[in-house]
Amino acid sequence: MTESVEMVSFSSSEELLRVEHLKVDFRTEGGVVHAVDDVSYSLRRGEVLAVVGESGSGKSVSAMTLMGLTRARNADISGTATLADGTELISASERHMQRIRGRRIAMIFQDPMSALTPVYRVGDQIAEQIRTHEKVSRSAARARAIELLRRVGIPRAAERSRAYPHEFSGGMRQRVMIAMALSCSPEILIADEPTTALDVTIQAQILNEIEDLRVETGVGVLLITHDLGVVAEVANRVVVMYAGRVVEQADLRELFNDPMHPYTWGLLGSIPRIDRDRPHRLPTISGSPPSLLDPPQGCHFITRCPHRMPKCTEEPPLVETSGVSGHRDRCWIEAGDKRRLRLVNGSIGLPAEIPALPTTQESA
Amino acid sequence: MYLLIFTLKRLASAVVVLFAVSVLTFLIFFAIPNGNPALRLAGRTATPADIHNVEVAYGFDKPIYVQYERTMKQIFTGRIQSYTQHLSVFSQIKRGLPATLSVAIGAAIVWMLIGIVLGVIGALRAGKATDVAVSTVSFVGISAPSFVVGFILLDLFVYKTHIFPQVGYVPITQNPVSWLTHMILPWFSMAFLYIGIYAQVLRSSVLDAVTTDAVRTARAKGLSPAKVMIKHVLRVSLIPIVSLWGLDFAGALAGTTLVIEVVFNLQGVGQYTYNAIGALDVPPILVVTILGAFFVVLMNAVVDILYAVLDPRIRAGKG
Amino acid sequence: MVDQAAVVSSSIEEETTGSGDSPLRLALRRLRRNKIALFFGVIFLLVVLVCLLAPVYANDIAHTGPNANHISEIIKVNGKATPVVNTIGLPIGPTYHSKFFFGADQNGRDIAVRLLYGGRNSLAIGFMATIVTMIGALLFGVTAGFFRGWTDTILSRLLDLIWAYPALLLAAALGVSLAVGGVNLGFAHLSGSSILIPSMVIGVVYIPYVARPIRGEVLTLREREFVDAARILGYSRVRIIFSEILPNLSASILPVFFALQLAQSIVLEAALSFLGAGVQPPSASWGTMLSDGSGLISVSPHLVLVPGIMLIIAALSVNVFGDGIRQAFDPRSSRH
Repeated sequence: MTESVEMVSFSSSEELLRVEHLKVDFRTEGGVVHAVDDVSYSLRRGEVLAVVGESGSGKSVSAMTLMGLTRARNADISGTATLADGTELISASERHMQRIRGRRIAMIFQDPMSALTPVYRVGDQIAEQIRTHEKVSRSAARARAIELLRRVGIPRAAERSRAYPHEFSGGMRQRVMIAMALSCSPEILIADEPTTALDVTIQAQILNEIEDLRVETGVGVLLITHDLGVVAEVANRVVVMYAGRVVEQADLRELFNDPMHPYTWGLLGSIPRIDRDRPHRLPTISGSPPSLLDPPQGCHFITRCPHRMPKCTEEPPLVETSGVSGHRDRCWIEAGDKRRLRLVNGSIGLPAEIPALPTTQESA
Repeated sequence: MYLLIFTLKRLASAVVVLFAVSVLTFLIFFAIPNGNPALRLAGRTATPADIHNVEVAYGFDKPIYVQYERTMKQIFTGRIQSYTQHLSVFSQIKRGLPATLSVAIGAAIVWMLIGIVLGVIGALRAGKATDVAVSTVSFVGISAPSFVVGFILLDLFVYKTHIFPQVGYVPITQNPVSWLTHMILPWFSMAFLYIGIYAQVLRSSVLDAVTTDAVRTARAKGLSPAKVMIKHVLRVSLIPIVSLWGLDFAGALAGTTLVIEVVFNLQGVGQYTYNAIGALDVPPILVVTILGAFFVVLMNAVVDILYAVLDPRIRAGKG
Repeated sequence: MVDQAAVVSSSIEEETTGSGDSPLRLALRRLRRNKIALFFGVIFLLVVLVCLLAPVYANDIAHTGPNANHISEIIKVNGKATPVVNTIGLPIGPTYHSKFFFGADQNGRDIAVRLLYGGRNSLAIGFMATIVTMIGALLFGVTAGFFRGWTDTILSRLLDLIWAYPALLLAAALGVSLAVGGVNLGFAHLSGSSILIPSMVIGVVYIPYVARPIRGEVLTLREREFVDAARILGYSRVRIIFSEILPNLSASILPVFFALQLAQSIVLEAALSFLGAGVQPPSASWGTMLSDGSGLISVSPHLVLVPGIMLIIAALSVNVFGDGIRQAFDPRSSRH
């Protein structure tokens, strides 16, 4: 049962950020950790690009690398990340990055409870960011901070801006973080699991907040999450990452209607559905993610993929197989076979057993 | 508002402890079963007249709580005197106070500043040669008693090389420069122990703080590394250090100055106590012990209040 | 700055441990690998050994006792005949020979011999005081932490009270009070010059410093699953303390505290004796030697430097070894 494929387009599809062949390795005592392995994606103006994956997939590390926050003596970073005006982030000097952080690219993080320095008032922390990048007086910065708090929906903003972080609830704190992040009108907002630490009801509020601000300001949002529900709510395009690599990328509808990678099938299949009969067990992807110290040869998903074949020991390239431009995946299986194999008991998912290699499946 | 309530509560509990301290000190000197307390109080050179005076003043024939009451009255009306020297204890303490305060306060400032600097260096250069050097210094610091350090510095800088002047104390009102040159060696002798500890504690604190989410946010805001370190790392990790410092200062003032003053012949309250110990002259020791403990208890309260001022979470009862 | 990369790499390292050994054996293995700590541990053992052999040194090498007075003697130094103590009262400095290896003091006594005999007292007091501290701290800390409630409040207040006094001052006050007439313990009378007195004084003074961390640890251990399991099995509370709490304490913090307290006690004893409130004459300790020599520091620094440096060596070696023990039991506690 396939749905019609829709073409999603933007009226002003100006590219804000282009990441190409990003690679991040950490040299540790146990060996080299290949956190991010040849990742490429781009973000357009006014869109929400969701980067999906489980812990250890490299989604957070790649985003933090864009901000230059992973630079260290034991980190080897290569590839390029270019902004609309040609500024290249990976090779930029630390000083240059300081001017970019908070002003052209802003980031909010997962746990709002610990993300603000406890000894300063909230309004002052927002004003601090403003005054770092713009020459404004303290009172002007404070006034702007109050205005920002009001915009993100914090009641009695003037009074609350004099409060300390511990006086806010989790959801409110995240709003403060959003206000702070947007204080200098950045082009790009990176949101790293912004709702994971919050209650479900608050999650919806925060996502709406981000959505409203996106529409209002045209900021491009790079949303990192492991929650497909969140993705379905707000994303325009999706990048699926696994074990440091991009395994599929597509427009939102494309991904949900016509997924082309077994890992994506597993993710989609494991979402509980209230509109279907309850299965005996919630389908999961068996096994666990591979160690980034010593990833498997070839396709990284090979250890858990029920459809693996001998060819999978050779690394698959990221190519278009679905026929829709912009929809790429990293899997050797033919498009036709994919559409057949992904259906388990009538819906998209993965079969439970993983056959041993070599398997009976063969590429046509 | 919270701050005021907190302060009052804290001071109230301090008063209770002060009372307990006075009782315990009294017991130490008067309740240990070993002979005639009047004799002990009157000292080794006591005449029978002295002993009789002591017995009357302290009431040794009366029940113990009367003795306690009398003793406290003697102390708090300032009348208590040393029978060996026939001088009022408090007058002697007042004479020695400037020297003692000069040493203690100066040393405290020195060890705080140097300790912070070394701690931050140790954190920034964690694992490298400088860090190891700082760690070594800190180990030697806590292993070398301050008076031994004092002797070594004396030998090297006063007697062998004459860089610093002969021992003794010069009041700052008399000659500030001379005061300073006489104070430098005592300051460092006292500070050496604490520099090591503080460098280590701050190093740990900074290393912990640097990996917190709050610092990550600060960096993501585009703040320069210096601003991040000062405004977000140090401002937070120094809070526990400040309270530690307050307590150590009290302990140093009431304890370590004893030996340092002797080494450098500073004629402060510490040396006065030392002389009293040598002569087994109890009244000065009694008074200094009570005052010393009092000071520690008060500093304890001050430090807790300061902590609440610096960390808004404490004021609200959280954190 | 390192933050993010460090967090990633260290979380990966943590996942690769895991073996079947008991914490004690793991700790011993880690300790064995810590060359610096072992080196200093050996140094401390040497110090103890040398001091224990004091009589041997005195009889066979220096041919004199710790209190033997050679004030009017003349000995040969580098071929020249020199008085042990010259006409203006200055004693000879180190000869680095068998007699008066470290020189003599104003009374003509052999410093090296006194150093070793004094060391016996210093170390003995250090050990005994540490044992007193550990026993006292365990009693207070375990009782307060395990039983909580009123017991905890009262005991903690008591500890706070002792803790309010600066250690040196309290020890001096107690030392003075006890030095005059000794103390009647009911079953025995200790004379004022017994070295058990400074041992007890120092031991008691440090109890709060160790009792508090023990109490904290017991509070945590109490909530652990194995204590619940023991309770369900019907163990009496006393039995739980001995079979669950104490072994865990011994594995985590007791050895570390023992070593650190040993260093602290040795240092406090020196300060106490220096003030005259510790070891009483004619007995000697490193502290009394420092006191004896302080007057002549301008001309005969060896009187002060010899016991001083010995003191530093002893304390330093115990401290480093103690830190080695701490790292062995909890590798993440100090180094990042």
